[in-house]
Amino acid sequence: MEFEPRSGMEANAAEPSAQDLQAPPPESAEATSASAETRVRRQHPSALIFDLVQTLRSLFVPGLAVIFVSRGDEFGWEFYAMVAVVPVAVIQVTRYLTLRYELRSTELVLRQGLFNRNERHIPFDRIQDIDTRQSPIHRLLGVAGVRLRTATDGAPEAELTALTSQAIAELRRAIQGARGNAATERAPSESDAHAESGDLEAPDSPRRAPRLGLSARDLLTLSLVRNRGLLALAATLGIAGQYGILDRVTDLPFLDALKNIPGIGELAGFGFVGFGFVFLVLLSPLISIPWTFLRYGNFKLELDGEHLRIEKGLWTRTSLALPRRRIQRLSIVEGPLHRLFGVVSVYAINAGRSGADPGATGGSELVPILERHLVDAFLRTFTPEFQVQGEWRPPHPRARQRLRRGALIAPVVLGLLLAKPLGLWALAVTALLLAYSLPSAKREADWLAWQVTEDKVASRVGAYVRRTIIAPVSKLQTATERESVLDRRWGMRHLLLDTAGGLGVRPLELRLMEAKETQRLREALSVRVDDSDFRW
Amino acid sequence: MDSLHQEPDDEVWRPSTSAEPLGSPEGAELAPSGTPAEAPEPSTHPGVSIHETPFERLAPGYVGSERVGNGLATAFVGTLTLALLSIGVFRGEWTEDAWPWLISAGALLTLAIGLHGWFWPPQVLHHTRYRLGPRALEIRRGVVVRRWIAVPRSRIQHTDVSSGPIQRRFDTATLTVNTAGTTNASIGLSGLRSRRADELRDELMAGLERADDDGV
Repeated sequence: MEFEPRSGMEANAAEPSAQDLQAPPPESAEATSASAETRVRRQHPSALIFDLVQTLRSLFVPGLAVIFVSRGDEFGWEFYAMVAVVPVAVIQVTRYLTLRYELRSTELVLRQGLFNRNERHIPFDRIQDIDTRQSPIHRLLGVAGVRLRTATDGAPEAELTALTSQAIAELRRAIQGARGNAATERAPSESDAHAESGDLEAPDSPRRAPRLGLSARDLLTLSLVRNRGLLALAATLGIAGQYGILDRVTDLPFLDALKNIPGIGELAGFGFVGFGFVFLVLLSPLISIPWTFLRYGNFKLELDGEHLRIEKGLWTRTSLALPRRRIQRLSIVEGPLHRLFGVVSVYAINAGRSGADPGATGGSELVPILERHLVDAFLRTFTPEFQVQGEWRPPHPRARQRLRRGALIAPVVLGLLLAKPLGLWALAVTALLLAYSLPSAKREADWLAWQVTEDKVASRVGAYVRRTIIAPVSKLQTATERESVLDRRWGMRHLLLDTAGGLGVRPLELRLMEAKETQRLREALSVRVDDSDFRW
Repeated sequence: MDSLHQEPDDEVWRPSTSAEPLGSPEGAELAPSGTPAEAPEPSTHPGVSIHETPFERLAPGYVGSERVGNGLATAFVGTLTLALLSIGVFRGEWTEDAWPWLISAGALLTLAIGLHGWFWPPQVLHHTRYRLGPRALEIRRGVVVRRWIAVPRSRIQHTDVSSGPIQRRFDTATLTVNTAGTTNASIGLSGLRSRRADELRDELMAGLERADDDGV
């Protein structure tokens, strides 16, 4: 049978709020008990295959290294290192054979291990995200991989490689049932169920939950904005260069013929490679378009009670459920290519999910691409607590001069340092750097802005890649004013507002403000933050 | 100094502000309108600002303990430099032209570390202030790059007081305040009198328990 992540989800979308309103946790336990009270369950048998494939894949790169290093003459120690696969495989077989889980009324119990028995109890109300991942092989077998996350940073709390769709639905029901109190919070307005072109409004949807899909045109734009094809080609070229394939290309016989033509001579080889590169750049969409369609095809963002559910991918389909209240910060990113097409990307930084999505450090991608004029509607619909309505306020009136001065310093100093070895060329270096840094300073000054309303703080930063970062006051932690020597001279300070989040997340920064303003804001905000109630 | 133990004041004050609707005078102050910029010095309306508690300085023992620690570090670096140089010289691995330079470089490095270790702590002492107000723990610090840190009381997850052997000799301690944040996840304040550090910790924890009792 075909696993239909949607069917299970729709059921959940409809049930939890209705059911949980009258049904506190005890009753949800009964719902589970309808099938079987605390029955011990195991993974789908295919889990074994997936685990083994995963291991083999993780050994793929070392394996390649072995093949290249040993040069086929004789098997060195590298070969025997590969024998290490065997114990790993044995471990995984035992893991599969011993892994059992049990759904109790309020917690999930996970048992595994043959000699070292391990029993882990995860209370349902601590489970934050239920992510599923489904490759075509998963789909063929009617199963999906499941990851359960709690607020703890890093690795998922529990990972089940293959569960049938019924088992997943059961798990979801148990978890959402136990989390009743969270779901009873006000449901978002359904009136603005806005969807972009090519929406995915399912006809069988029992309740119109707001959702957003991406049309083919959106995906096309996305593939151009994030030209992965170029990256892939660059990597291929790099590898090719490494193994001397490029040399072989430049030694092609017809190039020899070209080389014999007087006047063209040795330049022919370079010219050929250059032409090839331009050709590849033009060709790169051929790679990036299919890549984007496979990764983001059938993208769907859906508001499901207190969760945002994101599904994407044609090849490997991933689904993740993100509790809205755990979003600490929202980041709206707009690079130069984004601007060309009038679109933005929206990321969420949330506690306990560091780098879960490789596309965004310390955050999850909410929407890879969104037309700029829809941002307001998007925020209103999906994350009303991040909707900014205040007026954007400028930084310190002399911020522009300050940035320009800063942009002058590094190129001029570098030019002076290089003056001796390079002579007049140092001037050219300085000019080149200034040609970058001065417009960059201007762009940054044009974009810099901030706003602090009663319950939100927002900041616009960045020069070429513009970011709008929004955080509710209730998610703020500490407030710090920073003042460097240069800042002091200009009478400016920066206000840094810390939030929870993954590794490598920088604080929300209101840059280059008047010193008095930062002080007033820091004091007022620290009182307001103290009043507000922070929950993970 | 010990004006922190204003229990009644605190009790009365906390609920009154939290009950205040947003958009009250305080909200107006928050909204960056053309309100006249207030002086940073104690404001006169009680219960609104966090200027009530005066700033405190670190214990003078901070300088001593830091200097002893830095002195040990300097001695270590000096000995290491000397040892390396003498090995090099005696084994003749360096030409005679090179070693005077190396020795003076090593001496300079040691001197720099030593001077820094001697003259820096008083600067830090001079530039550090803290106060535990009813709403937040505030720390002012930074000799070159200045920082004003406010840690709202309700955001404090837990606090530690630690005191190393040198610190104990000088009766100082380090108070570390941990929040759920990222860059400022833990903020250390070293150079407090041991008793003061304990008091601050107790005070902070009492505030947290009170907040928990309120069901916040």
